[in-house]
Amino acid sequence: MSVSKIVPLTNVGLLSAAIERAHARPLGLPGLVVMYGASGLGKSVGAAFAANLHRAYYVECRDTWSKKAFLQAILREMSIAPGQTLSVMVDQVAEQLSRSGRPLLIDDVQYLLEKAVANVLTDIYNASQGTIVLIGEERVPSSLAKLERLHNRVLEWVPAQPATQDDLRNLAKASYPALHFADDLLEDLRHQVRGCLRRVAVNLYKVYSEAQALGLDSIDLAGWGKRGWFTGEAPVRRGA
Amino acid sequence: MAGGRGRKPIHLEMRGNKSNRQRIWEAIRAERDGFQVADVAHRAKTDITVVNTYVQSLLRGEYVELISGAPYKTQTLRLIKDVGAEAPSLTKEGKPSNSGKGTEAMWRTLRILGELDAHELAAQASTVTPTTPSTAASYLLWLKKAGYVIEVLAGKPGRKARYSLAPGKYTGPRPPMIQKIGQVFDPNLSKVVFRQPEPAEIEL
Repeated sequence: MSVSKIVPLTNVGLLSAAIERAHARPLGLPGLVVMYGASGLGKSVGAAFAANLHRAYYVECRDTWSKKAFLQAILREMSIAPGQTLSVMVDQVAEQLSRSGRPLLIDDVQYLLEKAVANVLTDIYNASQGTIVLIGEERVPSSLAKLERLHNRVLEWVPAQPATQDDLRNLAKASYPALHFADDLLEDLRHQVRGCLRRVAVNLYKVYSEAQALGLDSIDLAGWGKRGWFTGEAPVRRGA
Repeated sequence: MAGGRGRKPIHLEMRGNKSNRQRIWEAIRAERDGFQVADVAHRAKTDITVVNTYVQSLLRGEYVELISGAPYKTQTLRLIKDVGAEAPSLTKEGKPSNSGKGTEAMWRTLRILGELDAHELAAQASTVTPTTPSTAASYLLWLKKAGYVIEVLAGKPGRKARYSLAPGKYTGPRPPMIQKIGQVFDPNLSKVVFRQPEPAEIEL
């Protein structure tokens, strides 16, 4: 029986270690963990791992959410029949969080922070003292700074890191075990996509298909040559 | 806890169809300061032997304790560890049980990751309980038949098929179950969402 193991990526480790510490924090310490960073750095993979490990409640925010919609989404995640008023719903969420000891993971939180919904977040935290994990884009820390009541309850800030050389190697090995990617090739790729994990995956696949077509079982930068990388930038207009 | 602030107890009730244990747990929570097995069985509309089994697990796991009465007589118990709305899933010995947690992790992962293949799904679910890629692939296949996931990229030799959750198909946190008779049951909607057209047992 072959059991797949999760690829040990930097951001996955960072987030789950931070949640671990928040979970085991001494009484009286705040319990908010915030992970932020550009899209494509692998925050979601980290979120999935942490959510599975701690059996967290997971909600993904939308721009259009009102306070009510936000609370209903959390309660739905908890499978709890929502109460009549907002304040009852806050109590229900808080009660379930503190009773069950399961963390609450809120993804794409940037959509909430600039709006009145953010106060609901503060209420939930205050009433539950649970472990709450916020995940969002780079501007999350500055938006949070404006919400003083929430900001000083942050136990740990976890900036998502660009992919490292080890990340690339681990990912390549896990995705394409039969093909050996030389270090210089991976390093060039990492540099070109600026550590964006999502683009790394796209390009590894590109290399893999080419290598398959050529019947190679190992490839380096020289072998890849001038085929180039997909960096997400639109092709430059050619001179007329 | 909330009680200290003089609030009314907060009403937490699970929605969707409930298992026996869930109904028993809710009945116990409603009578937390002193309950008897027969009353719980009546309130939960469950057979008394089922209640007894679960209460034994809860006793061993120290979720409830005996306050009066001898064994085999009418006992009164009370709740001492309230873990919220969801009935704790326990083994006979009162230890947390892992049954169903792998499927739950796969279902959760599908929603968080958006797009994945069977290997990635198995890897994520293995965080909770060892899961093979073929288990994950089979779960994906059933969900695909039921219209819950779509195949984004077809598999071919050397390339794994990639799947994603179909839009609007996140029906709730409880994972759709594959039942042995060849059907997919969604506990969030409490209905069978896919049934194998031909009985599968013929090809044994």
